[in-house]
Amino acid sequence: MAALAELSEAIINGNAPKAKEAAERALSDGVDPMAIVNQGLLPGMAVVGDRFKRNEYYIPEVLLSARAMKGALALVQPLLGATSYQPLGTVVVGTVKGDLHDIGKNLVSMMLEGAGFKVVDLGVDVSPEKFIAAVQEHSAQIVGLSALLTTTMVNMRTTIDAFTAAGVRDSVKVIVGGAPVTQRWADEIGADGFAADAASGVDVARALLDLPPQAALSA
Amino acid sequence: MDEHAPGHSPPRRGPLRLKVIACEVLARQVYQRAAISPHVLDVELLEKRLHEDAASLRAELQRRIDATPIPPYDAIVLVYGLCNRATEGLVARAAPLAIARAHDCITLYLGSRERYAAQFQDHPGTYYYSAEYLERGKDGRPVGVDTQPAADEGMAFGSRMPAKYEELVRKYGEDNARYLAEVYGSWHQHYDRAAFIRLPCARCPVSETEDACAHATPFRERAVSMAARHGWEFAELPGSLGLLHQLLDGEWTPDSPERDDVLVVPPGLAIQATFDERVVTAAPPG
Repeated sequence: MAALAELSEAIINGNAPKAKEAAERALSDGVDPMAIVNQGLLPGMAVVGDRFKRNEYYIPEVLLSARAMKGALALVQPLLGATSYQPLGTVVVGTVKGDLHDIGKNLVSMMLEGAGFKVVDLGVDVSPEKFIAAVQEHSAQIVGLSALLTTTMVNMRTTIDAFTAAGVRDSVKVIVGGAPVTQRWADEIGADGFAADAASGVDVARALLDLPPQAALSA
Repeated sequence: MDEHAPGHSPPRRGPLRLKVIACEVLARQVYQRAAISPHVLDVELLEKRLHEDAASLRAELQRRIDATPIPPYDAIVLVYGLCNRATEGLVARAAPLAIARAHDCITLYLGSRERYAAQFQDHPGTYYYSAEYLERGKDGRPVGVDTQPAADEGMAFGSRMPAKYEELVRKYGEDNARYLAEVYGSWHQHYDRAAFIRLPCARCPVSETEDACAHATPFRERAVSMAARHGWEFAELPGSLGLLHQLLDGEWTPDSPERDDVLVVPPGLAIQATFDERVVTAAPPG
């Protein structure tokens, strides 16, 4: 289906107007909204993630591709309810209390959406209580905690401890990430996963839900 | 000064020979204190732009540490903080390393961990400025009264644009460049305060440093205009050199109790982040 291939292509090239145009054409051609996501959006973003991991794409390219994907997704999303489309899982993401940085967190949110997850983004300066409430409200399987500062990283531990104190730690998988965050820190605070960057955030989320890794695509 | 001068056995009294490896953002104050320290200090300055990549900064610092001959130096003083973990992993070779228990230079400007923690708690969305930081431009050139500094020259490296706007337009097109500028500039909306930290001016007599002096005023005004541009409130905070002086005067003890504001890393151990009130500790490398 030409429109779907063009949609993937536009996403890979970070061309938001072309991606929107291709999605509109696919819809008016009667293509199933689920197919637009599964055969247009997701494959495009999979290539982007792959190129990022191979250092062929950097943050700016990924931001532009994610923007193109989001624009197309916005057209299709309202129509998915009428289909049997199920997201892979629900992820609550946020930057921890005291930290106001969100570029990385926003990128991870877009990559997760582009990989087929439902994302609930709580924004920045998020208290442990707000994370817990959102996980429960949305029955999320995963919560992603982001921090950019060494001064706020400690609030990742505080948040995980709050989940434990509330008796809900076992109900959710915790992924941590952000510039100063390391695997060692993730282990120390009892996180379930560590994402070194936005693309690996998707891999870690899939692994935590026992989903097979996304097949590496060459394009 | 503790009589057990670090790195020597048996203990000896008397002045130490210290190699000071300092970030340029405190250059004037480092030079000023080095001149009157009871010890003999040699100063090396590194550019602030090295903070853009933590791994590169760490490698350069370790190179400088490793190149310091022991003896004649007794210890190496790092005028740095944890600096987004750039100093984590630095190994003390034949002589101890002394570093302030500080997340970054803002603690050194404010003079204590407690003061920094209080500021951070009450005003997390603060972008910090100082005359000493601003006068050294990103390109290494001095920034004077008539020079326009690069936009957002405050003490943060979190969200720098990946390239100049014109370059982004060339590479990605106008629409995409505008989007990237918006994304990379979005942090402005989350911040709500510009704080200008006024240190005692190294160039003015003590009695004239109650308010921002003629040397600091132009940079204070730049911070005021940044605040206005972003719709932030503006605050002027008096700085304190107590912690910096402690470092340069050798006012530290080898066993570095947690209450001490300076960590001394014994030979063979490395700086490690603790993510609690200690900020850093000494631990086996790796």
